[in-house]
Amino acid sequence: MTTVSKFPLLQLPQKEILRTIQSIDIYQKMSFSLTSKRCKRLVQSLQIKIKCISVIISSRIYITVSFSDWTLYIRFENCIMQREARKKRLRAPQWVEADSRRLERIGFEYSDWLKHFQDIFHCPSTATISFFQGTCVYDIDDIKEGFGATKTLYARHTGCYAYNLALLQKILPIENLTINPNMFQDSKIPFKILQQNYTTLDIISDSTTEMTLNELLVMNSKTITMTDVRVSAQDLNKFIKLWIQGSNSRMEYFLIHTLNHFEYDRTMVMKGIKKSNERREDMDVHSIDIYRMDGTRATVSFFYGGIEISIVLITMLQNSN
Amino acid sequence: MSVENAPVVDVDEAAIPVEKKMYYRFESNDKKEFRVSELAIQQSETLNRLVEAMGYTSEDVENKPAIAIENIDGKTLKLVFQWCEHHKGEAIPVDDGSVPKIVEIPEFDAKLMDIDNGLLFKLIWAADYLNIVQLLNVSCKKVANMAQGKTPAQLRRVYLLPSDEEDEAAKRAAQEAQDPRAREVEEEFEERKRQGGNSFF
Repeated sequence: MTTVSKFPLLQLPQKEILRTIQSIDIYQKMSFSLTSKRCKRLVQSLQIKIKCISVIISSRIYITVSFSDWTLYIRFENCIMQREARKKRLRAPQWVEADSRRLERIGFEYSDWLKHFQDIFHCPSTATISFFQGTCVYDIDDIKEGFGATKTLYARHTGCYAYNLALLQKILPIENLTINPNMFQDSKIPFKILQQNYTTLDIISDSTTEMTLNELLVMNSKTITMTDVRVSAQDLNKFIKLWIQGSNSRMEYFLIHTLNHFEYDRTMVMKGIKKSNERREDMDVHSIDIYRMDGTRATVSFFYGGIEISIVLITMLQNSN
Repeated sequence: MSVENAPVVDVDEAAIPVEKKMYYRFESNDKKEFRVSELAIQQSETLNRLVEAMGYTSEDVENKPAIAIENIDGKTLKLVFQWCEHHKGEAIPVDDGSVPKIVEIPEFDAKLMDIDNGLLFKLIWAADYLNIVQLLNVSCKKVANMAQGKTPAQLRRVYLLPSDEEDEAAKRAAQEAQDPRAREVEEEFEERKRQGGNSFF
């Protein structure tokens, strides 16, 4: 039997306790912080700098801690789950690993783990919650309770259409949403999702998806980007004309980007629209200024693969003058 | 240099005449005496300031009693001075509360610190008191290395970390020791509560 070397660390002068725990690696710092409230406070006092904490949910659950040049993956494994109403309940994970190193805290539930990392890294909010295939096995209320508060949601198909919608409704409202049309039947994102007041709405399609004028008009976000989403030139033309008349008044930036280098017909998109300062920005970008009825200027840029509408805000103009 | 990325203060060796090496005499709390070179003493901010303030000449050193270091025993002080002599003239890291990103323990230091944890504990206390920054960096690194690959439960055993309940009990005991009346007041309060009284005062 090997004897364990023992050292009364906490009986050293405070400065040397901190010097010691500063010298241990990040995994041991986390382990140390889990041993008691006092040890947690000591690790907190090191003021470890991180960029953000995020949560990834698929068939497994991860908390990620992003440092300036690397990301730590904390994996929750062998969760104790009981089938209640056919959904798995999130209970205290059986064990937790940070980059394959075991962490332990008996009785800690998911929300406790998240709170603990937020506390020791001085990061009170969750930057992003991402849902992937496999999330649908978990109880939505448990997800909301364990990880619910976030500003940014990255949602992919969880494995069940009804669950996708219910999950989004549960987590909303949020500031930034990245969503995939294939989360919904016929790849149609419901209006009630599109019309929320997001700061950023990113729609990323796996295979080219069509969107209609009506879908564009209900979007109420400041920044709207769509990847591999096709909107007809006629609908874009109407969309720009309606913007000139005052629709989508919150919009500051709009981008359609396709991965197959599709090129819009400028003549069709700009048909009947008063243009000014038409110019070629560089080899592949053709820009045209347009004005809304209230005088707000926007630049419509055509390029291989899509179109961009960038609205020049009054505050931006004031800053540049 | 064993420590990288550390801000350093250069020691001006040229300013010390080779032919007139100055030594000082120190005495531990168990009356062990040590002769330590002036250059070695520079590794300790505390001792360096002390000898500067005393302004001893070589004659003073021989004629006056050894400088007493009353809170460090001879066994520990021997290690401290061995370390200082070995590292004399080396650049001294500035103690700004930060720890260098990479602390490597040189072979000499590793051998010096091949001691039981009780003595290592005393060595860190001594280095803290004498403010020997580089010795603190390597000795605390040695303690930090004990955490390598340990789970929280193992860390608790290695570092003798008290649980929350033990911390609470120790805090209460300390409060009571400071104010013996506290327990009486608490008991009186509990008694009055039991008797159904609404107001304590």
